Amino acid sequence: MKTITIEHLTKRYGEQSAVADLSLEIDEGSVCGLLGPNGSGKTTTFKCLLGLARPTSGTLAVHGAPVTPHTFETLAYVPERNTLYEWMMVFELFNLYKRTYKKYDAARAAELAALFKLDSRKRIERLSKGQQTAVALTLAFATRPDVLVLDEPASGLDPIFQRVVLDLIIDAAAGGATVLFSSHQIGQVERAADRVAIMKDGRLVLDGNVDTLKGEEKIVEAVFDGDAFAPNGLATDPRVRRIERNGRILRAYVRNDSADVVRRLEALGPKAISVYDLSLEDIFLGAVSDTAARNGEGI
Amino acid sequence: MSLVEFLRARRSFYIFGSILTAIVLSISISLGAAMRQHAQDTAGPAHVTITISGAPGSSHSTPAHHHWHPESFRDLNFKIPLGLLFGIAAYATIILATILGTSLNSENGRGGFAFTKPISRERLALTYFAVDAAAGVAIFALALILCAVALAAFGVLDRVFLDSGAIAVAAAGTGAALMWYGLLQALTSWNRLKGGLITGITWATFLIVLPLYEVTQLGPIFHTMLAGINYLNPLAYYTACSLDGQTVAVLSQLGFGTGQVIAFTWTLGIAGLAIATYGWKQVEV
Repeated sequence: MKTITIEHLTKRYGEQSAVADLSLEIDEGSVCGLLGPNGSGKTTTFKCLLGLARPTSGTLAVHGAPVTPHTFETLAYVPERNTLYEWMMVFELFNLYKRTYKKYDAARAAELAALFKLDSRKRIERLSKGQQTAVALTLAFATRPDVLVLDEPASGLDPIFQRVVLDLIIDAAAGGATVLFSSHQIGQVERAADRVAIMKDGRLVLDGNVDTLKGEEKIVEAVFDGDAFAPNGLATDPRVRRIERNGRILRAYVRNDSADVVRRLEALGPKAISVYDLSLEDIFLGAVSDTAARNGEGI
Repeated sequence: MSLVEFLRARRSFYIFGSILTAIVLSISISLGAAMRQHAQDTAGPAHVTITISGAPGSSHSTPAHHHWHPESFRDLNFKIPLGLLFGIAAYATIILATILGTSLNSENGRGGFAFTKPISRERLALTYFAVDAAAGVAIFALALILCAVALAAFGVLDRVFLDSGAIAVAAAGTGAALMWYGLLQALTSWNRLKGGLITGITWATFLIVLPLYEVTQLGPIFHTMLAGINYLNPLAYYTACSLDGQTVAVLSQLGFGTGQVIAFTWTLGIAGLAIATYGWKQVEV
């Protein structure tokens, strides 16, 4: 069952297009990592999904219906920038959530506050950026949401607490929650997400199951005696997403059938040829690198 | 979410209430000290001479000189209409209303913290208005209490009487507060302008610029323009209170009677809140 459905979302600010024809579906209980360079449209997508910005066109739904105030009983959102009331004390925010959410779990909040070592008598403005993020996450998880939308949730946290956040995300998904989160830390996405969507310039350039993508994508690396070899039309092969050439070494990023690409490179008489699995970082860089590099123009 | 506005309004109430208390206490203490000093300077250590302009035919003919002990202030024959105290308390309410008047605007820069809660923006806005209104009532009551304490200190609290215009003055004064509050909400709810800046600009405009247009030569275009803007000035409706015989009436720069002031200020205030709520609903974060 689809928990989040985004169909042909376009959001323009004047002449500038922040999101262009984005379609994305996220299954119930799935963790989807949204990746993309700065300004690629991740936060705008979140805002449109949550009704904080009006889409220029397209439809968005959570549990099959547009977001209404009632949706937020079971949907928690942690924005990228701290938006907590800086003049409030931590315990006052906890009280606010207790009054606001029917499903608020005070015991869970206390447990998470202890985990993040939060002092509930401190004002938000006196907390570090990381601690403010921890407060926002504590509040979000204490509402026991069915859907979590987290915009760079581990931003500002130290590596120990980053790991805690990833564990919380994984635990929530294991409990049936659907999580959509963005991050610039590809390692975090690789660890927590079972699904990845990559955006660039407002468009979705790659989307799929993390393991499948990693399985589909291979690097075929060939080492030649000299650098005067011809890539034999490899750049125009639709399976080859990108070609890198560095002196005597040629790297082809191949999707699906790497065996045929290997055979074509072997025909060029290389000194050695190897096939590697791609990391998510390789997939990401391959997806967001510019068109010229991806198509190997000039090679 | 009412807790947010409650805490915000409570903080403003504490700060402004403290300032108000300090002002009233200072005035009372200074007045008491001045009277004692004057008594010592003019009539010996225990007496003071004052001049009272009394109503014709009253026991205090005009002008009349009396020697009195400060403690015997209560022996003078005068009464204090409650409407006068309501009129003073209304000014305190107006000031607090302008402090709280940008409460919707203060949510706009928060990345939608308030807008991602299980409560509609309309209901949230009404909640904020209700909390702010409660704070307004509280500061009105505090101002009345402070007046009562000051009068009690001079032993004349029992001279206060309920005059026939008191309720109307209270309605007009709180109407002016509502009007200014509604205007600020309407000006700021839909944008990310600095709320405090807009509040300051309205104070400067209503208190300084607009009152000047009647006494300065600005040319017919400016004069007409400022005269038009003046219809949005709560202080042009609720300009002052005057003692009219045994009761208090509202003086309006625009020439309206108390009833008209009540009708216009409440209508414009509520209209401002309706515009503000509509504008807030359209805000994109």
